[in-house]
Amino acid sequence: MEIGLIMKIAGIGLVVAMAHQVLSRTGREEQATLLSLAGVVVVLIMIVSQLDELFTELKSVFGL
Amino acid sequence: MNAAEIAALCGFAVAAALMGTLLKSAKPEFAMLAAVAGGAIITVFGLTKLRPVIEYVRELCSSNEYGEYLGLLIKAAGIGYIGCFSSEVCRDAGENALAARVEFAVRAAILLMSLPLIKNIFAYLEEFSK
Repeated sequence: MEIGLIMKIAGIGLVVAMAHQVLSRTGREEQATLLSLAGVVVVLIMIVSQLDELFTELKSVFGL
Repeated sequence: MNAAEIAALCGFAVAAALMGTLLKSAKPEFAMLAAVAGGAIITVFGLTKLRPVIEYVRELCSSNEYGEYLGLLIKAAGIGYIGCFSSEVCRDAGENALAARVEFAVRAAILLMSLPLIKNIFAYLEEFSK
């Protein structure tokens, strides 16, 4: 039960949200969007190992 | 297996839901990712508890001549569960249409998997009726 992963996702999400606000206030919309995309990609990379574990477990328990 | 594990699981689920709510107003896509990650971790925990049960059921039916059909049943349950997981995540993200498509595809896959069994049934019925 690694709560650390969820906390990291929440932390990255909040940081990206704040930076998005700051960037769009100062008028740099495209950088704000790029930053959001980068944040999503980083979080996806972080959870890919969990998803891999999930699918391995599913395959081995149900014999798929 | 004790109360502490179950309490940890429930606390984890509540914490993940809280993170999701926090992020939903600011950045909904991160809320969805947090829900996916939390769901994956909880599901892995549940599956490790389910594994001995399914192995026991397999063992019970392995001596029978219809043992492979039980394997088919368990595979169908597994495919159904994966499809359910994915469609619920889509529904939470507001994509109800995507969720319905995923469920349709999963049903088609389960039907395809049970095709040999259906063919066998009809072959037996034909033999029976002769």
